[in-house]
Amino acid sequence: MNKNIDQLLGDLDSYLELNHESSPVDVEKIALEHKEKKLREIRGNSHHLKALFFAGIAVLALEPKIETFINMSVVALAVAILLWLHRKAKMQMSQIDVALSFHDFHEQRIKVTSELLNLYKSVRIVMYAVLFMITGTNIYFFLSKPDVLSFIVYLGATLLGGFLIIRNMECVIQEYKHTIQS
Amino acid sequence: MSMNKELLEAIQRNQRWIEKKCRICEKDQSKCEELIGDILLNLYSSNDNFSKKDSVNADAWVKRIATNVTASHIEKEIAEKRIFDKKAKDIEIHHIEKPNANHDLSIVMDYINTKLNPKDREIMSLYLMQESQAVISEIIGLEAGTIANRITIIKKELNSLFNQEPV
Repeated sequence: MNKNIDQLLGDLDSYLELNHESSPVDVEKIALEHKEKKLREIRGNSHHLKALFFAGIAVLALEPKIETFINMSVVALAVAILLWLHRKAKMQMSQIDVALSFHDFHEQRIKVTSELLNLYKSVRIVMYAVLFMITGTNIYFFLSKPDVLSFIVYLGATLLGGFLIIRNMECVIQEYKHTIQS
Repeated sequence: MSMNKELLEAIQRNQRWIEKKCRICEKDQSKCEELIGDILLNLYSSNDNFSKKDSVNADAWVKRIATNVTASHIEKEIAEKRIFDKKAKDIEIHHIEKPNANHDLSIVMDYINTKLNPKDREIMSLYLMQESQAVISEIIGLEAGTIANRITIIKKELNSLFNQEPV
């Protein structure tokens, strides 16, 4: 006998284990607790960034040289730009009215996503340029005062920072591309 | 901020509906609870907008918000899986492996969550929840005729998927 999707619909509740009776919930309490949880997550992330910032200051204090200052400044600037971009993206996405019909909501999301995708792509070019310049600067410092250890440490740290930032941007770009294509 | 009584009642009325919608798109219990929290937070935040509107169907309001939030969640999950698991050929958001699980329903939900485009996915998940075409039309924002047409096409695809001979 041929199977049919309509024959299965009656079993959905038991399949999803939704046989219990639902009791009324305190919407306000749950919503506020959820908001607090999300804020805690954001604060947790900002603690990591603060730790990173102070680590940079400590390195600068231990090695007060122009090379250290330039490398630290470039990484700090790149991180600041990335954070600003993420914040802007989150803000624009949250401004879409979730009470719209799904069709309108989806159209709005695609519109905002295309704008953000272009912005991310532009910033990605800037990041590549900055990385290229800092590599050049480190090579210049090495040629003017050959110090293999400093050269490896500075170039390695800056390139690693740059790689992580660009990889993060690539992930967002892929996510947005998928949203637009869907 | 105290909640609008009409909206609050609609949320209580559709509590089970919201849970079902989340379970259809998310198998992970903790993620599912997180998703329900997101929906309730969005509903709570929409309180002012709801109060400003003169004549609005509270049930449709709740269902629209729940649908939009779950749809965003699925999109995010699919994108994350695509980015971090590029080698995986099939992306499985909803895949429950249990010895007594209804295998056909598992196939249906996998198909809906991973193979369809966002609009078809939402139409079919509402159809699975046994919503009428008028309600689906109100939530999705497309003509009832278009909805009926899409459901017929996808049902045909699903039925042929069930009845194809195993390779």
